[in-house]
Amino acid sequence: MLYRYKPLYSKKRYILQTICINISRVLKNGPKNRIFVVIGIIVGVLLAVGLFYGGMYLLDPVLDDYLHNKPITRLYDFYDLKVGENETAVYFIGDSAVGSAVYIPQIMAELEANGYPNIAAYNLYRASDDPVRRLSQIENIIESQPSLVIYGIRSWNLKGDTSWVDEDVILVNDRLLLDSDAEHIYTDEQLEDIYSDYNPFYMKIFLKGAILALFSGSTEDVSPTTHLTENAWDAWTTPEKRDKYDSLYAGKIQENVEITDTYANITDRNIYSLSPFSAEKTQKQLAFEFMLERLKEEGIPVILVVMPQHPILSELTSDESRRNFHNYLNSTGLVWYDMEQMYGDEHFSDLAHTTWNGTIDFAPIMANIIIQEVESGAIHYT
Amino acid sequence: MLFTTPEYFIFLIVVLISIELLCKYLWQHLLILGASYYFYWYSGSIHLLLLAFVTLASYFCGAKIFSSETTKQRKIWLAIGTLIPLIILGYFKYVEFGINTINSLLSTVGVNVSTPLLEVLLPVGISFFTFQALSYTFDIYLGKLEPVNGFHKYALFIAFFPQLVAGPIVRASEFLPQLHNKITITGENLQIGVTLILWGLFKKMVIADNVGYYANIVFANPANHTSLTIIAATVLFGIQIYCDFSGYAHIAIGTARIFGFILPENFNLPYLAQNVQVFWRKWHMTLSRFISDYLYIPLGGNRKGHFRTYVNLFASMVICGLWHGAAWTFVLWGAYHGLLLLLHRFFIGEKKIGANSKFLASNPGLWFKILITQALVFFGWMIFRANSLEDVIICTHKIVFFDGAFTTVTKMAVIGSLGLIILAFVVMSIKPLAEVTKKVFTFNYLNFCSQLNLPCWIAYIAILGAAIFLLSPPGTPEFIYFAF
Repeated sequence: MLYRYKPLYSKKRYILQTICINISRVLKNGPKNRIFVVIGIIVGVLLAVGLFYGGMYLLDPVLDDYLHNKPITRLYDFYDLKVGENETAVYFIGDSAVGSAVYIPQIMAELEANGYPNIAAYNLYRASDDPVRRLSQIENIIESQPSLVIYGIRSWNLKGDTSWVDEDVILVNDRLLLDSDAEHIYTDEQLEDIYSDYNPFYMKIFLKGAILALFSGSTEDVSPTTHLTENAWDAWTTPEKRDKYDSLYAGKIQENVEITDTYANITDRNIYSLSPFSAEKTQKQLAFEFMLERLKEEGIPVILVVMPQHPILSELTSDESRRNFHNYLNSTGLVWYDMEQMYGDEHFSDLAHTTWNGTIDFAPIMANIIIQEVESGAIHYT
Repeated sequence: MLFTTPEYFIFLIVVLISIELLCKYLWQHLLILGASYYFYWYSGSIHLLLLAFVTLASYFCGAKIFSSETTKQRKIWLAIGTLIPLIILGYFKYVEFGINTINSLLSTVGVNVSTPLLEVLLPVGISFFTFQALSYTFDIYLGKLEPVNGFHKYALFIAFFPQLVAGPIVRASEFLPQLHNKITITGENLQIGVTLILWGLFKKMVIADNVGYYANIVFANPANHTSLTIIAATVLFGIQIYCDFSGYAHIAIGTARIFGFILPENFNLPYLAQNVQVFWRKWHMTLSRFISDYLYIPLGGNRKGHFRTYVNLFASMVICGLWHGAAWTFVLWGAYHGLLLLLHRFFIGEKKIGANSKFLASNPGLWFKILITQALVFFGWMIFRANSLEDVIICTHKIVFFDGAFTTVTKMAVIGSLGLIILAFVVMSIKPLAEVTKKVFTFNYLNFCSQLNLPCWIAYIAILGAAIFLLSPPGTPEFIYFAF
C-alpha cells in the first residue's frame, strides 16, 4: 500500500514528503506496491536491453574480425576483386567434395608443366553447398568474369529441396546481386533469410564462434584469395597431419571398422539421400538450371564434373537412378565428365571426401580438362 | 505458443490487463479459461475439442461418482471416468508405438504383414491434462474431494494455461479452493512471479539450449563418438533436461503466481539427492506424487508383502517411463529406475547395508552417496536420450569398455573434474566448511531474490535479462517435455 503522510504544512510539501517517504520505503523494504513493481520491471528490461547493446558494442571488434574471415565473406571479397578482368580465371564451384578434391597449387603446377603458366584457378567450394544456396551468388560470379566454370556435382546435390540453413547469408546480403527472375525459385522463408536485416539480435549467433576463434588465434586477417587458391586441406591441417590422416582413414577402411557404422548410417538414416534420382523438377534442379542458363547467356563456358564417391555409395545407387542422373546432365547440353567411380576406397577419407593422396591424383585430371578447353578455343588464353 | 517467445509475453500482458478491468471473479475465471483455450489452440494443437471432451467427461463422471448410492455404481462411474482419458491417451500417444511393435514382432517371427501406421498427431500436453482429469475422479471416489460447484471452475483447473502443456500436475484439491476469491494482481505476487519467470527463462534459454546443442550432436550419431564424448554428452543432457524442465516449471509457477495462484513445486535440488528414492522425491515431484497416489498405492503399495511391494514398485516405474514417451527407450529407462529403487529398498531399506558405516554417515560420505546416486541417474539419462535401443547398446558399450581416446583438451577436462571431486571431498571433511557448503547449496535463492529491494531487484532483472538476450541461441527449441 502507498504510504499517505498526514499534511502538516502546505499541500506541495505534503506531496513531496509522501513521495520521498514512499521511495525510501520501496528502496529499503522492496517494492510491495504493484506500480513500483511494474516500474521496476520496465526499468530492468530497459537496462537489460542497454546491457545487451553495450555488450555487443564491446564485442564488435572481435565479431568483425571473425566475420571478415567467414568463408562466405571471403567468397564475396573474392568476387569483388573481379580477377577475370585481368587473367584467365578458372572457377571450381561445388560443395565440400570439391573442397577436398581440388588442390589448386597442384593443378597450377600441372598447367605450368604443360605450358600454361598464366591460367589462374580458384577453388570456390562451400561446405554443404547446393544449387539453391549457390544461386544467390551467381550474379556476383558473372560480374567477376571467369573464363571457365567447372561445377563439381553429385546426384544428391540435385535431389529434393534445399535444407536451408544458411545463417551466414545475412553477412553478405548488402552485396547480393540476386536476379529478380531467380526469386521465384526460393520459398518466402528463404527470401526472408536472404533479405533479413543485419541486427545485433541476429548477429549474436556468431558470438560463440568469434570468442572461440579469438582464443584459438584464428582471426588474423588474410587476403581474399589465400584459401581460394588452395583447398579445404589447407584451412585445417598441415602436411604432416595429412599423411597421418590418410594412413588413419585408409587403415580404418581396410579394417572395415568405421565403414560398417557408416554403411548403417547411410542405409538407415538416408543421410546421403539415396532415393532414386528422378526427372521430376526439384528446387535444386530449378536453381541449377537457372545458374547454367545465366552463365550461358553471359558467354561463360561451364563444364560439369560428377565428383568421385566411395564405392559403397556407388553400390547403393541403382542403375536406373544413375541413368536418370546422366540423362539429366545430358539435357543441360553441357560437356560433363563422369568421375563417380574412378577411385577405390583407398582414395577416400569417408564416403564423399578424398584423402590427401586422392586429392593429388585428382589434380592432373582437372588440369587436363582445362587444357582441353583452352586448346579447343572455348576459353581465351593470354 | 512457447513461453520463451515475445508472443507469450504479449499474450500474458493482455490477459493481465483484461483481468484487472473485470470486476466480478466469474468473468475473470471465464476470461482465463478462454485465454487458456486460445493458448492451447495457438500452441499448435488442433485438439481443442478433445480437451473439452476430456474435461466434460471427467466432470460428469466425478458428479456421478459422488451422487451414486451404491458402491457398485460408484465403481462403474469410476471405471468410465478412468477409461475415457486413458483410452484417449492410449490412442493418441501409444497407438503408433503399438503398431510399430506388432510389425516388428511379426517380422521377427517371419510374418511379413505390415499394419499401416495411422499417422496420429500427438495433442500437446495430453499426458498432463488427462492425468489431472484422472486425479479429480479418483479423489472424488476416494472421498478426498467433493465435486466442484461450477463447470467453468473445473474446466479452468484442467486447462489453466501456465500448466496446461507440461505441468506441474496439480491436484484439484490444491487448485479449486484458490478460485473462491476475486483475482487481484498484487505487487508482491507480481514481484515473485517475475523473479521466477526470469530465472526459468535463464535456465531454459541460456543453459539448456546451449548445452543441448552439443548433446544433440553426439546423440544424433553416437557410433562416431569416443567414450569420453558419450559420457560428456550424457552429463550435458542431464544438465539440459533439468534446466529445460525446471525452467519451464518456474515460468509456469511464476505466471500462475502473478494471477495469485500457487502451484506446487516440481523440483527440489534433485541432483543433490543421496539415493534414488530421494531423487524421485525431488525430481518431477508432482508426477512422482501422482504415480505414488494413483498407481503404486492402489496396486497395494508396500502393504501386501515383500514380493508384491517389489512388483508394484517396478511396475509403477515402468509405467512412469512409458508415460514419458511411446518408445522402448523410455520403457527401459523406467525399468532401470524401477530396478534401482528395488535394489535400494532391498539392500539399504531391508538389509540395512551401510547403516552402521561411520563414513557414510559423515559429510564426505554424504558427498560419496550423492556422487554414486548421480552417476546412476545420469546413466539413466543416456537411456532416456538415446534415439533407439541400438543407440543405448552402442553408448553403454562405449561407456563400459572405455576406449581411452583423449585429446589434450579432454585430458585437461577430466583432470579438472577429478580435481573438483577431490576438492569437494576435502571441503566436506572439514566440518565448518561442510556446513557452509550445505547452506550455500540449499539456500533458497529465488525466495531471496523475490524479496529484494527495488534497486537490487532491478539489477536482478537487468543482469538476467541481458544474459538471456546475449547468450541464448537464436530459434529457441521447444521444451523437452512438450513432446510428452
